Amino acid sequence: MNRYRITFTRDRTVRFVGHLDLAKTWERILRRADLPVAYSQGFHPLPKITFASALPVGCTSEAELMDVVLTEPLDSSSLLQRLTPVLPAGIGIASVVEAPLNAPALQAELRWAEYAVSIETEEPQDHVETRVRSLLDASSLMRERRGKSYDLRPLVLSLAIEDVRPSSARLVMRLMADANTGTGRPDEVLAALGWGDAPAQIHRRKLGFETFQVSGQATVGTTLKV
Amino acid sequence: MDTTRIERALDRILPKVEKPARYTGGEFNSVIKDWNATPFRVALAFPDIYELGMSNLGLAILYDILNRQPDVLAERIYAPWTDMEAQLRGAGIPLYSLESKHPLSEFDLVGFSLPYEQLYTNVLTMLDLGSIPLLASERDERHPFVIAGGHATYNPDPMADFVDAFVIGEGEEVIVDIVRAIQEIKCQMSTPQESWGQAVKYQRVAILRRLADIPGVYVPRFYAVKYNDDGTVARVMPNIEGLPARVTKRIVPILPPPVTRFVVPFVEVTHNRAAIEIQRGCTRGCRFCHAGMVTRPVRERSVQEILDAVDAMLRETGFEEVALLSLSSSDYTRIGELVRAISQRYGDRHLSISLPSLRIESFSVELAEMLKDGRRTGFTFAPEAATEVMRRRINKFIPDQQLLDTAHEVFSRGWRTIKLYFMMGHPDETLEDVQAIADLAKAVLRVGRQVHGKAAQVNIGCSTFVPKPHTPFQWVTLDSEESIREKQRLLKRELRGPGLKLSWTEPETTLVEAFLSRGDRRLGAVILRAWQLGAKFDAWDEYVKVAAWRQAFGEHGLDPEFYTRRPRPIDEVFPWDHIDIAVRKNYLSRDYMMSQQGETRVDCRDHCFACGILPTFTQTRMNTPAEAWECPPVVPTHLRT
Repeated sequence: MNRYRITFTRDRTVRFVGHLDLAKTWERILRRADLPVAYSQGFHPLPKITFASALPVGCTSEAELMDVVLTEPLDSSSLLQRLTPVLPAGIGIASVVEAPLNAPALQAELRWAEYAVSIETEEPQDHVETRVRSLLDASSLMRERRGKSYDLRPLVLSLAIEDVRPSSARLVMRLMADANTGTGRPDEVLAALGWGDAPAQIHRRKLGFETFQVSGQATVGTTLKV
Repeated sequence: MDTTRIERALDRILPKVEKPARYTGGEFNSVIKDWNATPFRVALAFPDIYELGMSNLGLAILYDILNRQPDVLAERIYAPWTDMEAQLRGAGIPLYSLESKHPLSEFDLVGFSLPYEQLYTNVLTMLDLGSIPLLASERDERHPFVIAGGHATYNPDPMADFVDAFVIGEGEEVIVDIVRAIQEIKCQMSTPQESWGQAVKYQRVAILRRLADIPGVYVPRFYAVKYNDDGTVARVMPNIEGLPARVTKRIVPILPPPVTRFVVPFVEVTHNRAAIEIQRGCTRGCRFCHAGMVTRPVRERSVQEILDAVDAMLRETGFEEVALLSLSSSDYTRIGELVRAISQRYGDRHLSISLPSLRIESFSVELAEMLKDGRRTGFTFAPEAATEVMRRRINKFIPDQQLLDTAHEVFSRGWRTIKLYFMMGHPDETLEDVQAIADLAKAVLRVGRQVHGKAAQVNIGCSTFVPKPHTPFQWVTLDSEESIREKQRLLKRELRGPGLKLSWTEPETTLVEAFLSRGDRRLGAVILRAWQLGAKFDAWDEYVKVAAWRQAFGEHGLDPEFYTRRPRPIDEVFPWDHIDIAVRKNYLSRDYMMSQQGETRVDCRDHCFACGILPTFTQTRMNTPAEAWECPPVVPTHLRT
């Protein structure tokens, strides 16, 4: 058994594909590539594929991460070669590396996710700044999601303005994504900023783990240690 | 609206609709050709949602065939769900193709698949959203040709007002003939002699006239319907010279190579799998069965061709499931050999191979056992009726004991759920016949409990019989609404409690299917009006609007009962008699009379009953190898001894 860690991208074509559907899409990619995927034991065997974090529906990403276990060793570059021709439109592979079979699960290691968000707005820079500052200054931001109320504020690790143009503004937000303490959603932050209905493009740039982080540009061939 | 503007507008509306991934395309194996560099463009349309359209094998076949032509592109269009329809209308976005996001109106040809009648109103929605005039008579040179095919179109006239040309029969060859004919005439007429406007107007009619010459193509505008005073059809005849009185269905003598590069959806669809017809047609002769009559003759694929295709499908799609399709899998000559070979090849690859439509016998359980993938899903049988009288009447005769023995076999090999499909409303059915359905289902459950105790489950699907054109039951009346409700009450009362689950068809849905199935050309106005009054998604129990339909009938001085529950004399001319499915009307009427006498016919593999296929396709049969059809070979006269 060998474990491989794949960093992949998701563009606009697949922005509305939900997490379970994406998992199925990956199973089919691996089957088309004719790779010897390991299956769980038992009555209902499932392929050993795990994802670091579900991408919220509607978002694009350059830093998705998954682990797949194969029953035979293969070198990472030939794995990449076999996967590339059978990828559907909208999914690209940034890197493939081998990971220790006993490494902790990706979900357990995940700490935060970073999003770049472009909002269609004609507001001037100072208005945008006011919105951002009042969010950051708040000690708590109670919100409701699926009938449960929760505090969004502690899930926002950072929020900054990257660019303001006449018809759009770009923000960068780092949100907690932790199996134990909670996961912040970028659309919820937008709603808290008062931009719940504004057309927005949300793009995941980075994932931060306990011992390393990945981003689209930085992971080709390797994973970074922080 | 150009494609970039459509894409931009979609960015705004897609986040507001349910399951937006249905509307974005980009799936693996979808074919995107250069729009500007491809001279002929076809939209393949399925008038229901993506999940159903993507499961339609007919369209997948045509998509494959057309996209193999270097100078043709084919793209897919499905009906938007009601929320998306509202968003498209609100934003002024035309209905667009999934591949290149071009509006429906910019294609040269729009082909609708109409496997069942309740899709008719959705065709109007799609034309309307696609900015194509609903009425064929109002289209001109700016508009695509609108064609339709599929099982419902063996009675085409209810949709004649909206469709320029129908494909009667199998579309694999016809579709290319149609494309070539349109191209040819367009080329010939590229330098018009008269004024441009007149010439192009003439061109549309000229093209339709040319299409009418293609075997298997029915162009309704060239056929006139005369009615009797009582509203029945007197005759349907060509209104111009040179066309046949009856349009004979088209068949392919040998099944063409199967599709292997299926479009792989990103999202869950109804049949999320690759599929291959192991045979086409059925020799059983169940009298209610439309498919069994219209898809004759039976043509089988070879085991080798199927195995090679399954290999290629798995490689090219990555699907985890492959369906081996046929109307009656157990009748495939080499079914044992096929299933053994498949289980040997794929047994340990975490795939599921489904084999629907198995006969109720223990061999079926062996077959399913060989294909099992560890996931013990339900086992399905379709006895259709539960008393001897009814079984003889419908010509599907399975003794109770055989069903119970088979059920025992199924349960003891580990399955815990059996699904049973029945139909109620067969001709002259009584409450006792329906009570027998409940009793039989409970008997099957008792068998299951002997093996699995409380874990045993029997799911009963009981639909209502709808008489279909071109079948021995085309003369039969639809069961009365009162009777349907009474029978459903009985089943609901009897089939409840642990281990039993009943599903049924709402009488409203059945009614709409029934009048559209045996309707005539006058229904065009009714369909249009019902659609204007809000009828859509008529196949969806929660959507069907019978009030709208009744009002539409009333406004046009017509009555649904005329089409559904009026006893039809044996010599009545039917609105579909000018469509020749190659099974003769006198064969059907004889079979109907046998049914009334309780007489059955055996499988026609064992004995040819001269249904009409061989006289119609004599030449085709002579040129086809003996083993390619299940009909007896035809020997040329000069070779006969």
